[in-house]
Amino acid sequence: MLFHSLIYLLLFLPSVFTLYFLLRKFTNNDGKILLIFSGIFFYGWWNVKFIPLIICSVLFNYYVSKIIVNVENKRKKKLILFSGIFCNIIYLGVFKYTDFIITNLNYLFQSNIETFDLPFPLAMSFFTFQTIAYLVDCYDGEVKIKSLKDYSLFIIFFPQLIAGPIVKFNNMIPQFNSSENKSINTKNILLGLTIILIGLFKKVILADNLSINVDYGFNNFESINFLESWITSFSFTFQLYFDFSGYIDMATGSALLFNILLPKNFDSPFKATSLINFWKSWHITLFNFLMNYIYFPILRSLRKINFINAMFITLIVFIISGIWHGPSYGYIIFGTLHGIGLIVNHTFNKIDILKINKFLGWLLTITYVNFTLIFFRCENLESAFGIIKSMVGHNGFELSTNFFDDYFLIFVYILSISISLFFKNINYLIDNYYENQEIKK
Amino acid sequence: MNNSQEIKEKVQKIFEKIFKNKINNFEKLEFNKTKKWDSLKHIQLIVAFEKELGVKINTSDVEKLTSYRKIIQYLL
Repeated sequence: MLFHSLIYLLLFLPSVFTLYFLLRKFTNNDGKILLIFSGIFFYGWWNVKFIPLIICSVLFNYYVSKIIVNVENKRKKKLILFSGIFCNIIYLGVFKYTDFIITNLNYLFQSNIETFDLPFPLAMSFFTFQTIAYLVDCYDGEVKIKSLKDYSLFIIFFPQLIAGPIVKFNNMIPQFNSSENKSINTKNILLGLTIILIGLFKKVILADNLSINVDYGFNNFESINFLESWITSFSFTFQLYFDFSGYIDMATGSALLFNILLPKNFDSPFKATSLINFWKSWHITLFNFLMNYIYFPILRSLRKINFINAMFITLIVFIISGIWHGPSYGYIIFGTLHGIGLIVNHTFNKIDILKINKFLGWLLTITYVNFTLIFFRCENLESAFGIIKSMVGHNGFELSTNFFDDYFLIFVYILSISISLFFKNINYLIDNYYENQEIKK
Repeated sequence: MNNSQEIKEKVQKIFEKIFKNKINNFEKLEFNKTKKWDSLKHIQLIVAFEKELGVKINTSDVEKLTSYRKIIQYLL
């Protein structure tokens, strides 16, 4: 079920909302089981066959976490943690990368191993990272797991289930348990609905219309001219942002209806004046996961913690992030380019000789991000290189285009650019609202 | 000199050693906001606290120690 579908907006969300608060008002039920089953229904809407996969993962990880918490012996505890993390990575790997690996092996060894054509279960990439963080938190004594119900809700709560934000157990479950969040909160509903509408607008009006030129450009990468190749790539940069941040807005808004505040995931990333700042405002919960659960632990485990090692690990982390995005070389190149970009950015900061002004920093950042996203979007590397060739003038420098024959599309582009670069974002709405709440208290 | 004062002084010395300069206002120090306090320095600080103060800092706690104040609170 998609957040911008009528079935979600007019049927699923209002029904779950009504049932949830009726249960909480008229019975002693905490509504968690209802939310878990709603999540399973929401998940199974795409493909019922996926339901056992998520249930298996939840049950397995719940019992692993129980063992981690209960085992006293430090070495055993660590062994179980690492085995648990390993199993989760294998589980994700089997579904996501088996066919990719087989295709590559066939190419390398000229063999004919048949692919399995495994369907990729939605949400798996997200709940795998969420689960790994959870297991580590259990190991550290951070999470005091009480029930399978709480753990299931933490994974299956439908607003964040499919595409994040990646949430942490201790940030989520206390919110469901708080007596303050037990009854309908009209202000949260107003704020939630406003944010859902903003997300819907970003997705349906901006992202979907921007995709027209993106699809045309990528499908005709051999024939588009200089100007069109630039428009195609930048259209995708904005399309991806509005698509993903619109999705996150709808997730945030939906969760707010249940008085649950999800963590920030975007914070006007296209205003960033450096690549380091870009990653502080783009897919924030993924970046935090990469930092806290991969970068820091690896760096800490090294004997020498110096700049060169830190940069090397930055590169590794971003290659992992690329692989995590999906089984394609485009994603791996995307991750690698961001790793390299960050190394360059950190190196310039360290040697501190070249000061560039903010505007130039912004221009460099958005152009570089735009360049990396060509690899993120491409269906094959040939089309990515085709677009890049046109962008550097390989096919001449023609500046005419019929990309903007539709006036509405011009309006969409103006809005997209203005919103990304000059408008405040939903975090401003949320922060302002909660600040006012605090003052009133 | 009491224990908390001793810890504060040790933490301050560690900060000055890692940042390689004299710091006047420790209270203002914040991860990612203070210019020198980036992710590399963050881990160098964490490892130095563990080594010199004999504490064990968990993976889950590393992300929480994002200011001088929070570090002092955590260590006390």
